[in-house]
Amino acid sequence: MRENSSKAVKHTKKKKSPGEKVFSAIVAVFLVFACLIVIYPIYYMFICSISDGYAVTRGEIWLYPKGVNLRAYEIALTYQSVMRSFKNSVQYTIVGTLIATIMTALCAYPLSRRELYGRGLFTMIITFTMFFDSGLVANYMVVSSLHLKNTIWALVLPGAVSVWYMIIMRTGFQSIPDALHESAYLDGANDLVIFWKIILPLSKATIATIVLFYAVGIWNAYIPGLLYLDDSAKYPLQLLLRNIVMSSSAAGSSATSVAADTAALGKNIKYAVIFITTLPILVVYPFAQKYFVKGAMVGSVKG
Amino acid sequence: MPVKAQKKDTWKHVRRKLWKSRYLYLMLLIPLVYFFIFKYGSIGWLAIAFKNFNAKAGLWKSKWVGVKYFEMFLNDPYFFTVLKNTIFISLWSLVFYFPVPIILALMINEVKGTKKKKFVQTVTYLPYFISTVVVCNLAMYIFATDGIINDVVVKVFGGTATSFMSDPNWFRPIYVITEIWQQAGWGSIIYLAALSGVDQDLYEAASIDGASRWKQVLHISIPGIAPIISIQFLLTMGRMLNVGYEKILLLYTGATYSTADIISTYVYRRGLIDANYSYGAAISIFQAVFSLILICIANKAADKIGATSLW
Amino acid sequence: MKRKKISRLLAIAASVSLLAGALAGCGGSSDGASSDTPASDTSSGEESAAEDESDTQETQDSTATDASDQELITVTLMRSNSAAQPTAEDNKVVQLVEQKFNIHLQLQLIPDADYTTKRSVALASADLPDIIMGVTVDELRQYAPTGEFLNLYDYQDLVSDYLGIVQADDRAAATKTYETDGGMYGFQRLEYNRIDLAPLVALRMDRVEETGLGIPTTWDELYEVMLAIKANYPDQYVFSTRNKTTYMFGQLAYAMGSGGFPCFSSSGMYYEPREDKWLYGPTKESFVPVITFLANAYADGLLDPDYATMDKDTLHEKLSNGSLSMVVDNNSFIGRVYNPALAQVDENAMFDIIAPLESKENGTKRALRYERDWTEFTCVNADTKYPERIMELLNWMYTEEGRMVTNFGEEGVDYTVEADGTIKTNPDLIAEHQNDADVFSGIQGALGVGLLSLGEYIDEALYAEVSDPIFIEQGQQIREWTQDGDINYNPAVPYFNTEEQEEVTELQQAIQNVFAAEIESYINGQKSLDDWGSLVEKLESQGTERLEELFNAAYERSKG
Repeated sequence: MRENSSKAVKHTKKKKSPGEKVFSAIVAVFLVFACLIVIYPIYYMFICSISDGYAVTRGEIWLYPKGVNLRAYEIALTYQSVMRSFKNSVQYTIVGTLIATIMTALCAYPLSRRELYGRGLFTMIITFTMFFDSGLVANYMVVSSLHLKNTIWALVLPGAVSVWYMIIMRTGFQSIPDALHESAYLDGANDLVIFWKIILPLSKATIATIVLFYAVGIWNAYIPGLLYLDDSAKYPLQLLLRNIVMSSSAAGSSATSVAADTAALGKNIKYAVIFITTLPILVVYPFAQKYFVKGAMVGSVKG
Repeated sequence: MPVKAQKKDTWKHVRRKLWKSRYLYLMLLIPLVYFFIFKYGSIGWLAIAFKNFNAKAGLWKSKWVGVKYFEMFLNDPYFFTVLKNTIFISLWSLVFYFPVPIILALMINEVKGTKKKKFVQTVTYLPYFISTVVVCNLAMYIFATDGIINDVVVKVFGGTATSFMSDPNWFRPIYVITEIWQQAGWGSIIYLAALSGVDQDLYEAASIDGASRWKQVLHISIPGIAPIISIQFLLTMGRMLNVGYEKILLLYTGATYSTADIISTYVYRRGLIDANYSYGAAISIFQAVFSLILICIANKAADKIGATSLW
Repeated sequence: MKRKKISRLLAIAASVSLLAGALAGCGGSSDGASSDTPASDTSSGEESAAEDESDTQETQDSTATDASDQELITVTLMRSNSAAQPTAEDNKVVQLVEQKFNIHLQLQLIPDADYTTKRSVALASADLPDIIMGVTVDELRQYAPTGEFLNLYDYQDLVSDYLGIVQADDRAAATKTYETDGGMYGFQRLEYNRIDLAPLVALRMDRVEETGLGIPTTWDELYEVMLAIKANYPDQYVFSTRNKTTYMFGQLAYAMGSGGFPCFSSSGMYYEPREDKWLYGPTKESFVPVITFLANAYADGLLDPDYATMDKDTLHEKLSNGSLSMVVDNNSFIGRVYNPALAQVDENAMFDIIAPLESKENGTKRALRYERDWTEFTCVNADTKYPERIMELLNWMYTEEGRMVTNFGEEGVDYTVEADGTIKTNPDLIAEHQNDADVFSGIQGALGVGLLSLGEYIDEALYAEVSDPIFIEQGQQIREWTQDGDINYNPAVPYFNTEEQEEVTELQQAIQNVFAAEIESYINGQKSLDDWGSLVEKLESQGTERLEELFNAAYERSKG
């Protein structure tokens, strides 16, 4: 399959007309521009995080760091329980993503099958729930009445199936030709086997996307941790991050602490914390990414 | 007698269908249990919209107030301002934000060379991980009267500085710009995944036929991801009224209320002051009904033009 | 064929185990995930079986006299956890309380940024820990009638020390406004010894000197000084405040002899001491000089046009790099933020506060400072198993002994009392926290003491040892100005019953919607001040007079 795509590339390269060149140039310029406007603010945060705190406060940091030091990272890392929360977040993300992906697939596959009797009704029942924001209190009541509070289940079960992602997965499954099902039936396979042996291997890109979406969603979520956990030993990392990042905005904190204004944490510390919390996702992403590269599935679709 | 026989027949037919899909139902059972417990469980709590909710007394024993809270916001002249603003913000996002991830994905797809492609992808999705608080801070920085944009306007073009952040006409553009900056790269992932599923032979065949790359994008890539676009569009329509408050709270000022104040921020302000959960629930129900109607219409329309529909 | 079977089995097993897992999750409560901490599963008020008293050497301390006869109980306590001062979980206060009362305080430390959300959900669902700290006046008034909190008056004998303090002459009036339906449902955070703090006008003294004009004593003189600074630094603006427009009015209006939006309030209502009445500031004649001042300042390039979106970080940045020369904000920022940052680039540069200014138009010389004490409360869950012992514990925090523990830690270990009565913190402790983001917060968080941890009756003597001397000097200055009557405390909003509260909320929302939508255009000159009357009319048509009526009726009632 790799041969296939490289051949295609060569082919197009050979006969590059002026029109093609313009097209490539437009694409290149657009993407370089997009990368620049995305990178600069991030670069800015990075140089702030390694600069002298007062220089940052004075707004002197623009293009390069001043008074380079790692104190912000030191403070951020010695900050109460960052490592502990980090561990928690990893745990919640792995368990939560696993459950969510399995549940979503279990839901999406039957609904992708046109011959399923009552398919429209089931889809309705499920999509219906998407339009209700029942609010924090209602969700809290449900979790609390199931006695899930202070357990990992409170964080991973309530959001186990996102209707949005389920529908995306369903659409992915639907794009697989019906002929495959039929021939498999003729071979005597049942739906579970077809799902396991044919559908899943063909849907790697879709599943990788959904895994990534769930993982990032769970990693970034702070509301469930806030509401359903009372014990700070179990807090996910995002709760701490928000506390640090929000510490200077009046919207978030209580009137007492705003009025008392104990030393505000510097911008450099905030940015350092952002980098620490984002790093894991940056590391994980390339693994999911390889499924998005064009041509990853060519061979299997044909087979 | 013949009628009965026919009925029996249909039932038999159905039963056969059910039996044939038995494994599918088995699979579906687990998510259904989940939806009933967690989703319908909490939707049931929306009944507090008809009650004067008192947690100590519980849902059942709270005082019944009928449609008082519905009347309250429907009679509130300000409610229509926020309803209008909500719809406008959604429309702006739909027109200006929605196509961006698609275009981005198509462009990334045109990049030759795996390394370059991966680099562009990784970079563009990064902002998604920066918390909204920080994004809004950065936005204020950039759009401030002494910020970069005004610097360029004043120094390069010799114009006068505008205070973008306190001009109601600029609120929606700024909202959408930050949205694009933060979300577009991430949003493109879904289209990239769909693009990776497009049969490569089609491109090859097309280029042998002499189709330009632009033509290939038009006739192969876009039709390839059309189902996903259609679904995303429908879902976005369905969430039209559910614009989150977090970002708006951080970006708006009194001066921009006239365009920036939306249902969720209004509810947030009211909720914060008198913690009126019944009022919030009433608005939730209103939003849900509105969304359902909207999505049903959109879904019908999608069906009509032959695009992929939700059900 | 075999492989097919196996995979089928696998698939079924996967689905079944998932279902089982989900059900188990629904039914059970404790799981592997919660095994990190021994006491994590004791639900609210449950008896703790943990009898390992390795830490609690009861005999060691004389304070442990009355603990032995009572069983060890676990009490849950929820409070916010500040990012700047994270409270250690097993801190000195928790240890000392356990020794003395045989009560194990299980802290639920909620991140401060989201504490409002957590608290309101907990209150709305009536799912509370035994003790909940940081309850606001509004919440107290809303939830006390539903029966969620214990009434202190039912435990008069146990809370006599606390009642003695809040019912003394100097606090009795304020205390009365915090009563709900004749009951007292929370312990208020009180100040014992504070470094005084107030939002005041602060100026770049070096730049004032450059102008050759003296330190201003009236608002007109201040305006002249600002104009002169602008003349010297034409590229810069001169002043701004943080937290957007209403907050700016809060900082300026009262000081200029008018009022509205006092101290973070989002309502234009304020207490006017000259009339002994509550007024809606913006519609009054006295407000005209305020809006004129701001409109002129905007037109003359004195007011930073980004005032309407200014957040704390940006404001601090502009003050610390010298691009603003005047601010109205808490004096504590001067010693902690602006001056140290400025000193690095310009050693002469420094901010300092000036005395409250006179307003010629309104004939006042005054400023407003935050409420005396704090308007937040510590409430006890009505469903707790140990009401008496908790009341006793909270009351103790207001006694001499409890106050020392909750502000300074353990005597002889963390601090010593000198012969003249001053408190001296253990130098090792200070050295240990020298590298923290902030020494004061570092020490307090580690011990679990003070305002942002478990202190209830606040003594801030520690500041004197670790802070920039300018902060202490300013504190004394502010105290003197307060005693002279130039700085007034922001009084508590009077108590409304449920129906009144509903009407007040409705009115305030409607009025604020109008005010917020239009006020900016009068400051930035889009609308002429000649039309100011039309805004006043609009505001009045939204019911400002009715609002004043409600406030004053409630206020009169509270005077008894």
